[in-house]
Amino acid sequence: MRASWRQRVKKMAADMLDVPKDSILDVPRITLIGGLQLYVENYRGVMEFRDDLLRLALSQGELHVYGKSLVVKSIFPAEVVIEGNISGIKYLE
Amino acid sequence: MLGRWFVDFWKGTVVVTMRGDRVPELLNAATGQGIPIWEISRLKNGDYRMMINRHDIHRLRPLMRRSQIKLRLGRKIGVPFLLWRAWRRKFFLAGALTFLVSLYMLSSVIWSVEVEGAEKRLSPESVEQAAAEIGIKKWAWIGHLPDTDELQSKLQDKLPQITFAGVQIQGTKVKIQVVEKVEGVTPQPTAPQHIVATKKGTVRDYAVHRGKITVARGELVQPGQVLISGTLAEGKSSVHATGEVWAAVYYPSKVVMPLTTTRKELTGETVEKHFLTFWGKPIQIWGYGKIPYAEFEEEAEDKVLKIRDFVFPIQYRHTVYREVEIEKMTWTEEQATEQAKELAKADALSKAGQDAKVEEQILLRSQTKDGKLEVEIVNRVLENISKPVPFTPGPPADPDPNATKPAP
Repeated sequence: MRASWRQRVKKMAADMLDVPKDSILDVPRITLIGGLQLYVENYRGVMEFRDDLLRLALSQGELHVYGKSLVVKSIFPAEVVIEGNISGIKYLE
Repeated sequence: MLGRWFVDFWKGTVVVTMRGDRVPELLNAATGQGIPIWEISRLKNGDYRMMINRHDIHRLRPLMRRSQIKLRLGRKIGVPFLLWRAWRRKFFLAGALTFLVSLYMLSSVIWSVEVEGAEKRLSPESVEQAAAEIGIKKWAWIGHLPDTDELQSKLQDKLPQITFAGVQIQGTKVKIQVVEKVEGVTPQPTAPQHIVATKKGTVRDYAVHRGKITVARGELVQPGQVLISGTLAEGKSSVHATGEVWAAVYYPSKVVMPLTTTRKELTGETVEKHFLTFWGKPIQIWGYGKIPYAEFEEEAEDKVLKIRDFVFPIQYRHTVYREVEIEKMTWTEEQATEQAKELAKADALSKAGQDAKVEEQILLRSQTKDGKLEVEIVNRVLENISKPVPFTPGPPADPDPNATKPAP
């Protein structure tokens, strides 16, 4: 309850200050370059890694990355870079 | 990116394959510990393949044990592995290194010195020797040689007979080109000398270039007698007497000629035998059987295996036996006399010298004895009997300093 209140305050502040929300909110920033490269910042961990599906844990929810011959190009505590033929991403709250 | 790659290459990277259900969990844990992992992909059989740094493997081990993951090491990339592989092949590498070093060293020494242009006044050997004295010799370091200009001037100092020395270094070969000084007019020798007779003979002819003839044609001279005198004007002046005096000299020869001689003639029939010689002892290996000739000549040829001074003790010997026919020849007395004269002539000429001429051969005595012809022949040979002899002029009768030429 307390966390959600804090969330709300942060969201309001982000709205009012007109800054990118990821810098204030604890939400991921997902950058897709063509269908080739996907940068996911602020993720929480890898849940499943298959050739055609990559499930990443987020602070809230999950991110599914669909594609073919997916490769985790590099992986860091706050960022993961995925390469391959990415056909879709699904954001689950 | 490239910098990253270099760092990875320097530290060493391993491709690892992991098998297990909880690999994503491990990835999260490893990432959390700050272990860099990259290029993670899933294989067809469900294994995970990724790249990690060499020194991170042991950090992964406890994590793997916890999540029951089997790890297999794959391809190893990087400097540490290359070094390790190199160490395993250290002798091969040492060989390669030795080869390179020796190639370099051998190509930086002089292998040959070539001399060009030394023909008349200088021998190539003397130029080579002079070059060796200034450092141009076999096995000398090319790098230690001074500049070619300096070498050329040094060589020119060493050899006064040359007007130009060119030194060229072509790889491991040094080419020395010299130009000899053109020979000037040699000064006339002025040392006082007489021309004296070498042999007893009758003077036939003379040609005086300088000096005074002291004998007349037809005069019998003794060896050592002055023929052309270098003393002029009753000892007041001395010259370097030159000239030739030709005289008839008698050479007696005694020749014994056998009237019957045997002559060997090859029939062309041959038999060959092959041997191996062990320390000089022959053991036949081919061509057995008796030699079917009554008279034969033997010709043996040894094939010697020689390495520097070492002679291999086992050699191959090939022997050819040639059949000969011996023919008896009988000469008449006249033929034998002719033959004897020829021999006497050759004998006389060998004593008289090359430009001598046999004028006449006088048969003194001829006698057949025991099937041999004994002949005594006197050869009259026309030859140059002059020989220069230096002398020191005595004190002049009249002490006039201009009259005598002092000896240089």
